[in-house]
Amino acid sequence: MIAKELKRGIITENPILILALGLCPALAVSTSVKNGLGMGLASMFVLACSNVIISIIKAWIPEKVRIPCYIVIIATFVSILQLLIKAYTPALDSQLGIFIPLIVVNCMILGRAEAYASKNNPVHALIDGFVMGLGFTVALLILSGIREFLGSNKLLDLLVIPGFQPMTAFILAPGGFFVIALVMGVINYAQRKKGA
Amino acid sequence: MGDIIKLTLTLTIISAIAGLAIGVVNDKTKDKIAAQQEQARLEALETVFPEGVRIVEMKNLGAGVVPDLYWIAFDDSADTVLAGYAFEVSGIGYAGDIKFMVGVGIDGNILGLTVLDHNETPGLGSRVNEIASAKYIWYPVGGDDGAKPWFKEQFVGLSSLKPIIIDRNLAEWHKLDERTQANLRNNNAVTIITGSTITTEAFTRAIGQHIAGYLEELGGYCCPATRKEIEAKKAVEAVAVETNDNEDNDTALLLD
Amino acid sequence: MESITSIIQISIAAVLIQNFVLARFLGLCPFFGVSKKLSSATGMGMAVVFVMTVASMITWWIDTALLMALNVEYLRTIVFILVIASLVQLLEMIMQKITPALYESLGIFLPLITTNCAILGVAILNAGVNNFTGNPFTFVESTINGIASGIGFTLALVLMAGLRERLELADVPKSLDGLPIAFITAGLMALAFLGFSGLSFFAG
Repeated sequence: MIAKELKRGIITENPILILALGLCPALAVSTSVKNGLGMGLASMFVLACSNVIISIIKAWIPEKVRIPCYIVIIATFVSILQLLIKAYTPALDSQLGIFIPLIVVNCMILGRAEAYASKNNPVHALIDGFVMGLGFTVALLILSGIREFLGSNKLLDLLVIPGFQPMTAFILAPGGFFVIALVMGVINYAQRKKGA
Repeated sequence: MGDIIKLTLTLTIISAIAGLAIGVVNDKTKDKIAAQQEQARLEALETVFPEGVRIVEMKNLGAGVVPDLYWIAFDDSADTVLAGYAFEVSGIGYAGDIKFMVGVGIDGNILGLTVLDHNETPGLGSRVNEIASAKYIWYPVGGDDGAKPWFKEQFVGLSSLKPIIIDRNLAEWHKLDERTQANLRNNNAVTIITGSTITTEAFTRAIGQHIAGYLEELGGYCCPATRKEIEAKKAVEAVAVETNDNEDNDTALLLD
Repeated sequence: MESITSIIQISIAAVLIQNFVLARFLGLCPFFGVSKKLSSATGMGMAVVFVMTVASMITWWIDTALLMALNVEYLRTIVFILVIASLVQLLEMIMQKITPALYESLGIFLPLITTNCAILGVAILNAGVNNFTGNPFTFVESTINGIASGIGFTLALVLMAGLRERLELADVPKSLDGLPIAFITAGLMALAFLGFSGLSFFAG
């Protein structure tokens, strides 16, 4: 069951590459593998925690105010995370900057709260938060790996190919769009091959 | 009506719990965050001064151009030899303020420079912190290859009393040969990061605007007092502050 | 006039140089979600300009008068998002009552705006430091930044919708059909907008 869930989160329902959710942070912070990993883990933390809490208190939340309630819960975990990052990894705080508070409006998190956590028990909600967060992180690692390599000939701040002239455009905004387009294209191609 | 009360109540309770939770975490992490900032400042001070100095924090409550907080360093070998000053300066970069710390000797030459905070574009201006390391991912072990952040390194030894020139025909200081680097130094000039002239200008302009004025106010580029005198005075101050809060302005600036 | 220069600088930077969508990567979900038809793109754009402006004004007051005064800046995220969520709801109700015609055209976009990160983004950026003066934003500057950021978002959205309407007719490789080709289009637009970064009056 775990393997099936993992496959769902990372491959068949990958939040970024298949469902196209949470695109803003995915493109904005995937300039280096370090940033991508930091953002991925941060989002996973918020998603798993808010999923569990929402699943626990779902019975007491009136239908009409459920979205504001979910947002408040998500925002709480984001604020807590922001303080923890400031206290324990200040370097990450200055790297991710404005995108840490913006995890609140990452549509992946509200989307999972609405579509999954509000209908399932806390254990399942936790697993869902974890695998979806993992899928988000994996997608970020793929995007940031490609961008860091093409844009600065580095991975994790270490050089990769001697003499390779990096193309800075891949670290800048346009490169983000091109890389995600190509990764999605490759996935579509693979799916069509499989289907045919 | 009952519906409205129920809705309001739910949302209020959830918000109250949320606010409380964040408040508690804030309370627990407050000291740690302050300690991290202090640590960052100490590390910055170590990079802007050469080794073997003793750093004393100074508070300037008097009027004038010198910032409220600055640092002086004494040569560790001799208590009376002043090694230099460090200031926090900020310049307007491409995407907001670039805050940096600069250490200058009493002759006005830059001892070191380090960036404290910036929001420059990743891949362009953010390369102010880039280390021109030659380490490859295939053999990452092998320790420190001694590479320093090249952008900041090129400022070391330049004079802050003369305008620092940006050489627009050259870029990427770490890729130049030693003769060109020496030439640049003789001309009091730096190179830019490719595509980020504005970022570089933030540094040269901020140094040009502030440092000479600070040094002049602090006593004409020359040693104002010995370390023993300053420390003795600081000790007196500390006692004075503890026992009596009346003393302020005259104890502030030790150098007038 | 110092303040007028700063207002012009803020506007041009927010619309062109630091365009919310194409340079800052904010508000991408509606950018790709609502850019299939020109008419709905225009409607969404207008709704965003409106909400961003009002949100900038209100969050500025709350930030200065409440959060900073009480020294509880760490509650910023949660307060801002609550304010924005209730603001959107309130606007929806007011519009329905007062200007039903406007509600007809913009109403369906309003609920989508709550989770548009561009709105929270502009509120958080306003709470930061002004790029041009180095001081915190004033009320007027915040408002201008809100309007200009909204216009920048609308500009990108409308351009994109125009391009995508034509793309419908183009013969796109099957694997790239749909979102991927939209991303490539956005990438080319971002490349074009990079040209504006040469417009520099940052050197004050």
